[in-house]
Amino acid sequence: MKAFLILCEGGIIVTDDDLNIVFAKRYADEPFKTFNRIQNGEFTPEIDEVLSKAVEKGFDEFVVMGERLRDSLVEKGFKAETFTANELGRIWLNRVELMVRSGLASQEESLSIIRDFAIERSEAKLRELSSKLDLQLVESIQALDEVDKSINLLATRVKEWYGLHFPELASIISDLKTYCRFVVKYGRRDRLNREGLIEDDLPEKKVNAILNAALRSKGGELRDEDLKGLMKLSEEILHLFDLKEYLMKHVIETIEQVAPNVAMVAGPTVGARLIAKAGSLEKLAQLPSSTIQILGAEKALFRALRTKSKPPKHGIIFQHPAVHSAPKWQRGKIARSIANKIAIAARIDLYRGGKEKWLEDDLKKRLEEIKVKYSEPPTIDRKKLKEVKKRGKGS
Amino acid sequence: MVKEVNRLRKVKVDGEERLATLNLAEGIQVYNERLIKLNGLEYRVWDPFRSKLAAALLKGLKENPIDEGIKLLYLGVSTGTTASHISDIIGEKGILFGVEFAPRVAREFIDRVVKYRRNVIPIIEDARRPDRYFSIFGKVDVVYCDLAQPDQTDIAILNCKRYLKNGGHLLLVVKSRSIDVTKQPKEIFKGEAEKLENEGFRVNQIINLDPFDKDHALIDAIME
Ligand SMILES: C[S@@+](CC[C@H](N)C(=O)[O-])C[C@H]1O[C@@H](n2cnc3c(N)ncnc32)[C@H](O)[C@@H]1O
Repeated sequence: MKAFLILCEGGIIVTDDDLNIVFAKRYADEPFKTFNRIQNGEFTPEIDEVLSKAVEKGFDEFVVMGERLRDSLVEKGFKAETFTANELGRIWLNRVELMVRSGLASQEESLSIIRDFAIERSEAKLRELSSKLDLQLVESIQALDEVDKSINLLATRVKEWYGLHFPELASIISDLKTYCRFVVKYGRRDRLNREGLIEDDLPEKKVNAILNAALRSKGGELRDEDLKGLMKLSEEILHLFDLKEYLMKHVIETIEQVAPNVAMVAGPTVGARLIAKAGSLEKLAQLPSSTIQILGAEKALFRALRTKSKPPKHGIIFQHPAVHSAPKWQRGKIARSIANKIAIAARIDLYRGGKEKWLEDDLKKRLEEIKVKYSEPPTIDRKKLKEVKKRGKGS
Repeated sequence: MVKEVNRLRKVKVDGEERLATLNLAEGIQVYNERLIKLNGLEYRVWDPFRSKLAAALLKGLKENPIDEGIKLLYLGVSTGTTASHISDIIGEKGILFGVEFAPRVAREFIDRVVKYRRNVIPIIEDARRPDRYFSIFGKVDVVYCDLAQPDQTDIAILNCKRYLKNGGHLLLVVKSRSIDVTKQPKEIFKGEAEKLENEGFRVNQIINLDPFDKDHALIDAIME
């Protein structure tokens, strides 16, 4: 005899192939999880009970929802098949009526079971969707950092190369982008002019310094071929700067979608780097704040463990302006309170969503407190310092 | 004698006549709309500039199918601005299934609307795949469609065929610019209405939403 096993939000309904109710079994608890387990082919106490009861009643063939459930029934030695799409569509649309008729739940209860289930299902789906976005974020922040590294590498080369011709320039223009623009715009130093430099928004003092330096430069001549190569390289670097800006925008947009609270507390790029280092938002949300604080400082941490010296106070978090702009003795405390808030922010982003403005307000207040309370550098305890040094050397 | 409560009514706010719905989630605002008390009941003022359905009601939707106790499928529910007012109107005995596929807006819809309203059920799916709406049950009395997609009339028809009762209403928001920028809005509205008629709908009314929404119309059609 053939039985339908109808797996719905409230439990399992068993009917004959005319949809006459045979019996029903409610899930013990956590309907959403139990439903998914059963549909994935796991044998929970509910499905075990349903099967043995059905067999007792003389059923030896089952029609079920989902191929995995069918496969595991077949594995257990049952005859089993899945519903056709049409059959399933019809039964599924009428499941409230079936839930009521089988005594699984009243009309009103059924609605609320279905609704609660729908919310859980949606939440799970949204988590999955955003974890896909997570991976996008991880890749794009890494691309951004790699573009940045390339810029530094190549621009340093331009500085050295152009330095053969105009060695004094590097100490006047330290900003890499401005330097490359300079090379592209003027080429040789004898093509410099005051108007052009002012157009570039350089301050008066710098303009004078550059013009003076150009007059007295100790640099050598540049052949046309060398100048061409240098200018091409500088142009490419300027393109990389555009790319960097584009990627930066992309990272900011993505983290605003994935983890708006982490972005708010840590800043978008630091937040993205933390998520990348942890592997995903989900993983970041599982880390204790003490780990978040030194994420990215693994080398220093292992060194400290090896040599029994002091552990690092901050990793990626050091890039947060509130940390690196603070006096040295405050940094550890500031890093700790930021890490605390990031840990909370990551959990809110993962499980709840929506921006929680109080996180930022709390953090600001805490940072103010630290600034006031530790405004003076600590007096150094010389004896202790010696001890620490000795211990460090000893091992 | 039980006096019937108006779930949807007009109220005077600062001397102006406005639409308002009886707040099903007392004390809770969805989009910063005004809450007002009338004879001990709390109403939410409904902004026709934020919600095309309110605009259509004000512009004279003749046969409003949204009533207490009905079941409705909402395609493109977004953060739930309009859906929250529909939830007010249909009341505890009604059900609204809200379909949305963009994760962030869906998140807000769940947090700001679904969690406070027992008559709202979220469905995070692509409206092009109605076969995947796991949580829906039974057929619905009304399909409300506001997807802002060029092929949304087709999507609406697909959904109606699967889930709308015979004789049920389709309320379709048509945004003329999202279909074809080069055509006159009026032509586009007519074109979409014709599409519906070819698919067995009877078009009841085409309401231009100007001045609340430029180049927009709401089509009310019945699936026969
Ligand atoms: C114009 S907005 C809806 C505004 C909303 N009806 C209101 O009045 O408050 C369109 C919504 O439809 C959603 N949408 C567009 N295409 C969709 C699709 N294929 N499936 C599900 N949702 C879609 C968009 O993400 C967006 O939130």
